[in-house]
Amino acid sequence: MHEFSIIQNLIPQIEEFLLKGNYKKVNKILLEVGVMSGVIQDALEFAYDICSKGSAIEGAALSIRMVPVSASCEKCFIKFEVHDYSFVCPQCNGADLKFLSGSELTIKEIEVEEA
Amino acid sequence: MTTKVITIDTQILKKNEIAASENRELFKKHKVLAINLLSSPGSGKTALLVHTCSVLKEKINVSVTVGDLQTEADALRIARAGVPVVQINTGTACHLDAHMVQQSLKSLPLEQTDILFIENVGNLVCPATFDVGEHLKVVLLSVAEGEEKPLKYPPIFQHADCVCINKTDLLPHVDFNLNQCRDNLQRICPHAPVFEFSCKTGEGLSTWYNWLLNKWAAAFGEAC
Ligand SMILES: Nc1nc2c(ncn2[C@@H]2O[C@H](COP(=O)(O)OP(=O)(O)OP(=O)(O)O)[C@@H](O)[C@H]2O)c(=O)[nH]1
Ligand SMILES: [Mg+2]
Ligand SMILES: [Zn+2]
Repeated sequence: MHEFSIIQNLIPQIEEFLLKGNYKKVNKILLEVGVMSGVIQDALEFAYDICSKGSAIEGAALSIRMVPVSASCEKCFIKFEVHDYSFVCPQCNGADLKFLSGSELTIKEIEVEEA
Repeated sequence: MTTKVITIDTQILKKNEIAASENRELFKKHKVLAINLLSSPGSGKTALLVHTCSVLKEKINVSVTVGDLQTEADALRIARAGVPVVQINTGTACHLDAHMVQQSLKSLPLEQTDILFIENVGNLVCPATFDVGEHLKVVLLSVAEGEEKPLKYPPIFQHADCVCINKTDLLPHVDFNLNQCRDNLQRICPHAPVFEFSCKTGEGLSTWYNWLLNKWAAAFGEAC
């Protein structure tokens, strides 16, 4: 249940942002979560519902964009999406990959109301 | 009333990332190779460290940080191997984070450490998300846990720098398909070497020791 730790890291960052920009409130929060980040979307939403209550961001809608795993082959340099956890190059079957996406845990954007 | 959308593009775990980089700096300064040891509860992380510390301490300096929700039991077992060790009690947290590790480093003789082992909380999910500033991730599984572990927990296995299969002495007693497990690992982490051993009999441990010493030598050591 490390999703609680993650949300507890998220909330103060948004609160600080509101305070600094002197915004009235936040309506929406968009997160990007990589499929390989080890975070479960449902658990994140559940933790958010519980932890946001009583905080300055209470009521803000959380939306989560899941990011697929993508990689490039270090041999033939093609880029591809990894499906089904098959970590080999579809062209040469090589396993020497560079990961381009899939482990994100990012606050992408927020929608705020100006004071 | 006007609303506006602001691009943020910041890591949610920014604080952890900062602490992890500080740890990395500290490791670099003291020429410490830091190894994050990950597994389910009871796979044999502490047993492996007890053996590894007793053997490696004859050649290099080793220290250990060990995380559990409660108790000092694991630290006491490792202390008997005669190496510096600190216990972190995480309370309710299911993983170590970079701050907890940073705190524990204050009680370890880093300037006299070549390899630092960080025994994470027994858990194959949560610790995968938290960088503690380590150089290498070692994932351990035991033959009592089933050969599907790598397929069930891809994030942790995918980031492994090596995988250890422990408790091979139990192979005659359990329905563990070792070949299938090797295939599964080949699929999820084809880059990671696999070591198979028993911490009970000691069989197979020498290749693991050699791997560690080579990694250390490649990172910081003089040719040994
Ligand atoms: N038969 C056998 N038992 C082992 C082996 N390695 C460890 N054990 C036993 O497995 C149990 C768990 O080992 P630990 O070393 O405590 O495992 P751990 O991963 O540190 O456990 P946590 O810290 O609680 O997550 C202990 O009773 C060990 O004696 C092995 O190679 N063979
Ligand atoms: Mg232990
Ligand atoms: Zn290729």
